[in-house]
Amino acid sequence: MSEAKRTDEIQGEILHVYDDIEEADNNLPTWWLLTFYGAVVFGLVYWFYFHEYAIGKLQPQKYAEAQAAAEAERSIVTDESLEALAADESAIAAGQEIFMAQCFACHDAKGQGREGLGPNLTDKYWVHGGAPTDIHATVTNGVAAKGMPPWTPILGETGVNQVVAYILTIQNTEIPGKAPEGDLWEPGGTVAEDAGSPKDADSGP
Amino acid sequence: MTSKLPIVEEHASSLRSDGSRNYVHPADVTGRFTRLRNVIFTVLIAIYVVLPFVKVGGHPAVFIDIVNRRFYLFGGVFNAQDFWLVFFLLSGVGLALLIMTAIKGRLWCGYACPHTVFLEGVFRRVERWIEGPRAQRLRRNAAGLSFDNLWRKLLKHAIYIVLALLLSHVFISYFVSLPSVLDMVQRNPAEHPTAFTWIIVMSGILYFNFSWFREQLCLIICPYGRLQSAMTDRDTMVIGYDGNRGEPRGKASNPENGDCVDCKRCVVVCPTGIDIRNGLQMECVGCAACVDACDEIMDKVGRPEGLVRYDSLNGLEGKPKHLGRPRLFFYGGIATLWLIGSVFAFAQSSAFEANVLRHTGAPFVVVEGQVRNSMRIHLVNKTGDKQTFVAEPESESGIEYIIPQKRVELESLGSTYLPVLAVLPADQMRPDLKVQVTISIEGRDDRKSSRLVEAPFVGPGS
Repeated sequence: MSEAKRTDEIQGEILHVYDDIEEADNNLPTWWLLTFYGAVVFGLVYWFYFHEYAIGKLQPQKYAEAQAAAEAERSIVTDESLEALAADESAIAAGQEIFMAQCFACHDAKGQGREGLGPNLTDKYWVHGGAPTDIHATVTNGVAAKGMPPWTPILGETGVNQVVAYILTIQNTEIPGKAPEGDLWEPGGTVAEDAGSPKDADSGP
Repeated sequence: MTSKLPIVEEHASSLRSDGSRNYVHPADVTGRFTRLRNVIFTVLIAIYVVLPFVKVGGHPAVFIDIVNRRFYLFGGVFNAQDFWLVFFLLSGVGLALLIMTAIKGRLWCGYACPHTVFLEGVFRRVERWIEGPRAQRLRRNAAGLSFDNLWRKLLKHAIYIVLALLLSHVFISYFVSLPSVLDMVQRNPAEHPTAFTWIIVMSGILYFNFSWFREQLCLIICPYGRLQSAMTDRDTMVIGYDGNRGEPRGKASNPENGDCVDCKRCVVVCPTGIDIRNGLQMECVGCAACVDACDEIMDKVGRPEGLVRYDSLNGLEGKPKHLGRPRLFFYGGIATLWLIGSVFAFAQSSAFEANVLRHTGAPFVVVEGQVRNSMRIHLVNKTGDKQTFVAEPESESGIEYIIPQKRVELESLGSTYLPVLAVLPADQMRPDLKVQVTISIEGRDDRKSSRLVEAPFVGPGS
């Protein structure tokens, strides 16, 4: 390494020369230094704001709060809550849209059922119970033996609630279609014994 | 070793030793490369602005809808599942840049980089138009605040801000589509806070970049120039000064001197403020302004053009030039692999996605002496148009199928689930049975429009 120092007119004082590579020691660009000092100031502010004085909330804290809020907002599905939803025009419209996209294939466009496929949803007879929570359970869990899929993974909880709300509006409209199956279910009557765990009915597809 | 070239007294750098900015005011230049650049800039800006208006197959020619994960590229339709193809796109661009740089140097920087295109093609022209040529700009800046200076600066920056806003609106239309940009600009920003924030931040960055930052982006931020010495060699075409011909520089009247008359035209026209006579430098963006400037002077003093020219380092020193170099064969090999991979990758893309999915819970049930498997087919239309899909089961294995919805209409990139119930008498149950359904697009009979999807049929003893 050569220690000979010389002053270059562009680069200033040359401190090292090695393999013809000359090294000077000039100042960094002022604009670049400003970004550096800015980052230092930001770091200090961040430290005091989030850690030293905990004025701001850190992400784990925000996440826990959001989870608690979601948990508080999440309502338990009841006959009453589903019936209330069945009075909500926008929920019914959304439910009908889902019905026409997915359910109609087996239960037909008006819910009257199709021969060899899904039962009539508009008569008084229900294979897995006709109470709002029964219908909700059937849509949520599906009926593996009949080819009724569990719909929650496809529609989501909101979608299931909406489609149940729609079904409640066509319940007992007695549209001629597939012959009645299952047990007679009267509105306000006793809830089927095994509501929530649909059983297999005698008549299959 | 190259001989040390004398260094110009004038400060040839965009930064001073103390770190302060030496603001570059390039002089006007005319010539063949400047004319060529202006044509290319105009074409590229026109493409940038017009492309959002162009539609291919009913969709925007380039529409990168990140929010909805839909990507339309000149008639090609892609969704998030196709993201791996981006590897071939980006590696292809990288390879092209490597190969082009090894052969032709930094043509990208000087002719096609958006930073150069908009800085030289738009923003510097506005500055030249309002504040005059280099000498006048220097005089005005030295004079300090006056009414004449003030209105010129204000007008310039007002136009810069408008241009930055225009550029960012065009940019965002590639991501949200033009109709939706036109719709959003007529609404209250509170209705679309994300898009509004993008526009403001992007316009701010563009304004800062083109009004003040300029060549600092190329010199300090952009990695491409920093990698120059790794990507080029002594046979790469660069812009260089023919020292053998030019030195010693000095007055044309002295016959002892070389061809360089030391007029410093090449220095004052340089947009990054360097002296090309110091040799190939990281700061050279290959704009060829010095080539045009020097040719003009050589014409005037009656000497041949090309003292500063496009040539390889070997060529500038009068040594033999080579086109074939080991690195080019290496790049060629990688490019061949890339091409083969890309052809296979893009050839396997199909007109739709179809996957058989099982439901959660028990994989099968046995009812009335029958084994039943209930599943669903997830179907995605990957074409650019609305299509009708048909599901037709294959029942050679004795399995009977109940598919309630055998025909379904899907919009471009629309998706649905088709329930499938497969039934087999329990006494016919045997291993290796398969649920088989052929999905096809109605009215199309090419290879890509029909496919057999399968899933194992399971039951007791399978």
